[in-house]
Amino acid sequence: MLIYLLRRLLLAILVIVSVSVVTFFVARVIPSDPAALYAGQRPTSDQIAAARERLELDQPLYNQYFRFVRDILKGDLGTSYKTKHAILADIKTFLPATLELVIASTLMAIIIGIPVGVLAGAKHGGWLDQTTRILSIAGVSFPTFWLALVLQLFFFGTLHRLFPLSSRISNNVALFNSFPAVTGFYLIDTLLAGNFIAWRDAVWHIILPTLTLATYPISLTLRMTRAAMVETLSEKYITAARAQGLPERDILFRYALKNAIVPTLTVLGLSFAYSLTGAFLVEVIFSWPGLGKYVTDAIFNVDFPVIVAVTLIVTLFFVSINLFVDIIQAFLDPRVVLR
Amino acid sequence: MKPKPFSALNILLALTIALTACGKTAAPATQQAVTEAPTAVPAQPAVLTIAYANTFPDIDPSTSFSNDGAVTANIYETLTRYNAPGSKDVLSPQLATSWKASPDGLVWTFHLRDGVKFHDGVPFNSAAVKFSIERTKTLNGGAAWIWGSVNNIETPDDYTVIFRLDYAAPLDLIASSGFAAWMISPSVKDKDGAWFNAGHDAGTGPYMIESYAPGARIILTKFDKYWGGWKAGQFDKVVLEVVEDITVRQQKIESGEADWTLQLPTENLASIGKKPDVKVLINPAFETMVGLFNNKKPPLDNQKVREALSYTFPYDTFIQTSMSGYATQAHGTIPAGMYGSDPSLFQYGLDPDKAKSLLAEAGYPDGGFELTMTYATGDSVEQQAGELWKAELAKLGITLNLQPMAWEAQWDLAKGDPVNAQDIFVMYWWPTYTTPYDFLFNMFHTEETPLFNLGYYFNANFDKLIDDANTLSGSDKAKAETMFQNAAKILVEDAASLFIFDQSSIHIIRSDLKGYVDNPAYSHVVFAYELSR
Repeated sequence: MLIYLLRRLLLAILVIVSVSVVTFFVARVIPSDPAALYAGQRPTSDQIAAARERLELDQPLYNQYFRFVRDILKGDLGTSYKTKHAILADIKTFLPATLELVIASTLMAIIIGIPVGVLAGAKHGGWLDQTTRILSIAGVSFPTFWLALVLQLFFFGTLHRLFPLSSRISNNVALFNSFPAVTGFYLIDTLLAGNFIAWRDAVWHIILPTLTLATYPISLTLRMTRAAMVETLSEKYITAARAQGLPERDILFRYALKNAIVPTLTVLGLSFAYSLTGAFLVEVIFSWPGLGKYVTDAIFNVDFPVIVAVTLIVTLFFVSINLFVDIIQAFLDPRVVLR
Repeated sequence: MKPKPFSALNILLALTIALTACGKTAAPATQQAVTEAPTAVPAQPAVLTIAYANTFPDIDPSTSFSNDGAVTANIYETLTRYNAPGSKDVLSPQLATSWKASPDGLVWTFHLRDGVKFHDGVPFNSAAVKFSIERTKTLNGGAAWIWGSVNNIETPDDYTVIFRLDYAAPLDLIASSGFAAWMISPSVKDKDGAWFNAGHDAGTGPYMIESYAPGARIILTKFDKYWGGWKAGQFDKVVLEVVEDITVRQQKIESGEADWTLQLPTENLASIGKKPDVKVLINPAFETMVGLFNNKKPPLDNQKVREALSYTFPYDTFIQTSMSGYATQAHGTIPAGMYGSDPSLFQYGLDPDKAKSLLAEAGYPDGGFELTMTYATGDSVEQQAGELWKAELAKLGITLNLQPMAWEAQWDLAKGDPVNAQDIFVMYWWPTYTTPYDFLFNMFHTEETPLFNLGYYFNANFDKLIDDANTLSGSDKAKAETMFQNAAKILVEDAASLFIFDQSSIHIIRSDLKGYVDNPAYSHVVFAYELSR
């Protein structure tokens, strides 16, 4: 187990280092002048030259890379060329909003996708299976921006402002029921402050973006669970359990699901990390002040310290979640040999 | 007996009930929060809500140089204020009450307003002016270069500041800049940009920061001890909200959730303007689009060819189709309504016959050459300008190659050797502080290595004329204005560039908002203090 962990950790580090190398060098070969960007909107030649020296852009590329790695190891992700803000501080500001959205949508995928998938698998070919099949195909095929607009139109327009259009909380709550940002997760911060008006407002604001972001993982989880259930339910031990007269609920959710959930977990892990970047578009549509809005601005400005830093952070999440999922799988299913 | 299967229907039913129950408990409170306009609640403060399309990347008053000007302009003040077009004077007193330049434009004396306090209680005086400008110069970010001429700041007494300059510059106009000219409390001398961007401020303005959620909104609250005083009806709080999605902004202004917004789809403006609750305001913006001709590379080094090309652009069609009519053809490089602009200045129009005869005079009776036009990738307005122009040029046997490039790459190419650079460089220009010199100098003054004179127009007489006008503008604004107008005329006569259009500034406001005057010198800034409902 320990060797397995070590090996996975080494692999993870290797992935992160490779990603850092690739993004760093790709960013440097993009035709643009970072010194001019750093020097501001209307720089003079002197300002550009000063910026080039200050950023050490006249140094060889490998030197720049080693300096970059050294800074990261010291916990310094660098500063944005555009805003001159410390990137780490910016990420701390914007990441919680994105994580809150991604966690909410993953939870939604688990809560809806797994039970419905189990039931669809239990009666495969039945009406639930057929309906969810169509809905899932639709769910993975709808473009996010289209779905977001339709949801906004329906829930704000047709249903007369049942759900708000954008933002994490309404202006009125920010004005008259504000709460301190402790964790950056509004659903938690509002509870910590005991401010239930703000909490309800935050819940109401997160529903539409979560639904938009969750459509893909729900569909995926549902179909994966269903497929695995169909397979597992044809196993002999299930027949044996049925023969013993065990309650159907136990058979489905205790004996079958435990084995069937393994591939679903892998998919969930991947989709969590995938949602981190998928959230970027959703954030723009719902004016959700997360990492997505932050990084799209950076991309438009060719602000590559920010682009590289965010890429690294997302990679870190991807790698750690995969590792985490692998370990959970091993606990759930002893047949998965940790090698 | 076989136990009753756990039916799918039951689960769905349970889920539905659970969801509906959630909905029932939470819905009323939030619906209330969403639908109730802030004014509907008695005894609550008057709130102004402004919906912007972009975030506020930097609210440090020394380095801010983006749409964060919308925030700083309500918190900080400058020594002078540039007046909206149509005003009697170019400038109004703000924190300075009067100012004077020496005849050579090298020494400027400003007298300051008495009795002004910063939000932190520190009195505003000459030391604060010196501190503010020196902090901005030291940090040297954003638009700090506007103070480049200032050599030394003297403070003979608490309410007098003397600036000694290295070269003549219109310091009164510079002091009115919406960037890098804000007065900052000396108490923040140890604070850096991170402190400001955490939501702190140090201004004298009518509003202070109450809370800041980066990327989402800034809430401002009124500064009770503001030197201008407060009248009934003014706003107690101002919400500057970031709403990136264009349709959401439209929904917000139409529903009254926002009082002021910008950048809505132009094709919707006509229908939006018909609604009684909403007004669409169209004003000139101090921003112009040019197509800089490469004056150093054949065939555009030939003035006749440049003139001919100036007669080939379909100005009217372009403005009506691509700009939906929300722009005006430029009279030279200085935008309409600005000090130095000249509504009588000659405009080239679409005239293929004239173009053909000019081309014949230049030795290109049937065209027969290719030109490359670069523009910023993703800018659909520039792209459409190129495509419409391309069709007109094709009729004269000239091939126009459209080359979209990332701005950085486009600029890099243009800064290189003019002979290998583009033939036509399309871009927008707007001033940092409002002076015609900004347009004339940056885009057309001789440069050793090209920076923004990307048409490589070199004309010593023109250089002298604008430099002299700039020196003179401190002591004789009227005479300087005529000189600026003459300089702009030279550019049109030389066909130094294609002068395409002046941008319009389009803002959408609620009809019950009183006192709003658009001021293009402070682009997209809402001075909340001037408004009431």
